[in-house]
Amino acid sequence: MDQEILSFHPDDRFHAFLTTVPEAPFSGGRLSGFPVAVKDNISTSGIETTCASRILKGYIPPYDATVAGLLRKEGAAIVGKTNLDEFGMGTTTENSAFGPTLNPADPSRVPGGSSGGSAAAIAAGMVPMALGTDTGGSIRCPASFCGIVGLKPTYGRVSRYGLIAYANSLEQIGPMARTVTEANLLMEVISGYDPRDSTSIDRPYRHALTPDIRGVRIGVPEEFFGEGVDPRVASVVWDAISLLERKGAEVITCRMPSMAYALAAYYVTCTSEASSNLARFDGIRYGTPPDTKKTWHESFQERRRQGFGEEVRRRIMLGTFALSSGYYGKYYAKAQAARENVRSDYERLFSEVDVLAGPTMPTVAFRLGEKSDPLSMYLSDILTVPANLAGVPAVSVPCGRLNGLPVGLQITGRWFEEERVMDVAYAYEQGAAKP
Amino acid sequence: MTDGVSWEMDADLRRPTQPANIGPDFSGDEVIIGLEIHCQLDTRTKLFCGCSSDFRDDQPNTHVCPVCLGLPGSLPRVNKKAIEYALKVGKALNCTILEESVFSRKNYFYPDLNKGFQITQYDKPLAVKGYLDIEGDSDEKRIRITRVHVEEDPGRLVHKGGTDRPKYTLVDYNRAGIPLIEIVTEPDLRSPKEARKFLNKLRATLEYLGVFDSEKEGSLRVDANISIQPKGWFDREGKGKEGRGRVEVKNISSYKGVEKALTFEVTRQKNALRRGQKMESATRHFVEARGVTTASRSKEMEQDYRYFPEPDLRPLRVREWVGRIVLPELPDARRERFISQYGCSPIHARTLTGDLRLAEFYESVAPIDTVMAATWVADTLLGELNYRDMSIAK
Repeated sequence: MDQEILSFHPDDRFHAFLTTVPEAPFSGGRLSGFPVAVKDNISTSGIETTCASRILKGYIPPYDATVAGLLRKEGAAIVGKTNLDEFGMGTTTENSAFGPTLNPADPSRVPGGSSGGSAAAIAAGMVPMALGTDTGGSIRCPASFCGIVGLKPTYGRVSRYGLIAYANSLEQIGPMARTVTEANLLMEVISGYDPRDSTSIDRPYRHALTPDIRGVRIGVPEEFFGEGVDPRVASVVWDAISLLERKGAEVITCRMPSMAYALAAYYVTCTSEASSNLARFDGIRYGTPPDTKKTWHESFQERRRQGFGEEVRRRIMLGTFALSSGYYGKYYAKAQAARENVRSDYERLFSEVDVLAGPTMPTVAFRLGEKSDPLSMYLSDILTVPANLAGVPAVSVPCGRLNGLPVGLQITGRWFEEERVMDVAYAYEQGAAKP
Repeated sequence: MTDGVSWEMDADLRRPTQPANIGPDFSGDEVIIGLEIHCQLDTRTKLFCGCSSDFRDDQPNTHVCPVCLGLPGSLPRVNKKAIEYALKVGKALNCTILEESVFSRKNYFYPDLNKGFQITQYDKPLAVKGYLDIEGDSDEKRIRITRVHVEEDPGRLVHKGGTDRPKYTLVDYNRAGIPLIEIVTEPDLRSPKEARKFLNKLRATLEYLGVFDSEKEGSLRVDANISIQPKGWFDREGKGKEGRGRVEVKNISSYKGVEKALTFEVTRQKNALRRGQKMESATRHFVEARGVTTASRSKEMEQDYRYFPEPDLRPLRVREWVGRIVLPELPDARRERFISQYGCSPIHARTLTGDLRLAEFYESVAPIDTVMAATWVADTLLGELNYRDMSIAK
């Protein structure tokens, strides 16, 4: 099939896109003619890629991320780049240097983050599917807040080549879509081994969904309904879990004590890696050039001060501190030990149950500006970060509404068992549609 | 490798031409030297990407790709040949090869460093605890090797309009990502001459292994640590004890330069001691053109590199490779063979085998008359070449 052009002129009332491609080329393949949006921290050849940061404004990558290449190969039309928290650092998409994205379910609220633009573009009906990235919940949180499906794959199952790194050891690119079926298709396209990513693992995803979950053992850790989880959200999620039980799954309550340290381990790890990843933005190669009349040290410090937003600077400082000699053992090394505990907790749980279920987020979408202090924003990631620390797959599927706002059910599975995770999500989706 | 510093001559440390014959007698002192040597591995492609490493005759920034330019989103992948070469070096230097070795990030800002960090090795290098035997000042001497690790070369800065006060500076990333090995010795060397002999032996070993080409410009860089301690103090107290301050001389890029820089330092430090000055630990910079070392002014030398394991690369498990590596005949073995097979004198055999090309040239002419050829190559030819400052390769 020759190349065709998809005309794309969305009414972007929610500021989901940073860049759109009005004449998007596409060809034949499994995604032929599908308009697909790509989060703006994934490199797209010839299309500006900013990570929602001033420091990358005007940067047009000369190469495609592996996933972008796979999308094109299967015929998708890449129609635009979606908004995010700068470099993926946030839970609301308010930390974008180019203004926040609004939640289509209620424009006075945030869409979640950091893949808020992708989630909003889908929820508003502008695209059926999009790519997001998930470092500590950045796919699942906006999926939950906007009422769509979002999957964070097993670490290594989707190539990270071309993903502009925030926290390399935690993040994965994953599919976001209106339905489990569409998310499943997108996951099939983007997964697979990539020799350009040394952490890539040869486990391609090919799966025919089934809603038959008879005999599947679903674990529900007490900690998933612990302090900070809105009881009304908990009640919506329990109803969803009951539905799965009626479909033949076995529900078992369990415990996950390592959750107590997960958030701290997560923030130490991601800020440490970020402080190093973002060092390349020194004003010499990207963004506005530095004032060359000043000395090297003065000019790059000035460029970084101006080019990065407040949250990014905060995380660079935290990570720089955590890696400093004398503190490395207290913070970074400790965080890796806590991470190992989370991993062994999952190992133990998954010897007893097949998947874990609970709320994706402790609350429904926040109001714009509600999470103004960073710590309370960090706390809302508590239910999503454990999957990233351990590298296991987790999906968020819409499971009802609270006062008109979407609630997400999170299903977490064993390493490389996206298939089962997606089946459980599909069983819920189908069961909820035909009670 | 390159640090964010500027250098200036100390007003009171001009080139010492004559030792000052005053003050206490320091003839009972001894010189303690340890070396950190960076060599470019002679692989066809770079350490973390497929770009050609044969860049020397080409335009700037033509041997580059998203990976070695450090473009956002690009990821490194390890060149197995480079690791194999480094393992050969580790084995030839009688090192223990670690079962698992890890790449780490060394974080610092400098314009030649395109990612803002260098991928190197830190707490888990490829090889540790080896040695190399050299012809010491008195007799055969064993120099202990602390470690051998692999890292990437940064880019290169080209200063336009003079190096002292350049008008502007350009960056060439052709060199970025060239594989380097760093070889660190214990402080076992006792004179500048010994340091030079060590380097010559090391060069020969690396060339015999076929992993290094000393003829390539900029393929060798040396940092030297040097201090002068009361005789016997060092062996009694050992490394890490507070003695007189230790000076790290950076930026030495030739074999002769190492001896020159260290000789200058010995004289400078002895003079300072005679004047009753306390030797503080310091970093100095070798200015090859003037044959002097100058003080580094900047405090940036004390920077914290915030090493942590490179999350984009998995740990290297090299045990199986090591077993498969077969080392070629190395300089010591060839020297013995020249003596037994060709009847060379021990001195000629050492000279002839001290340089791979010389050894090979000798073997090609040896059938004529082994002893006469040895005398001619080792004395006449080499003498003529040295006089003209040429090498056998040219």
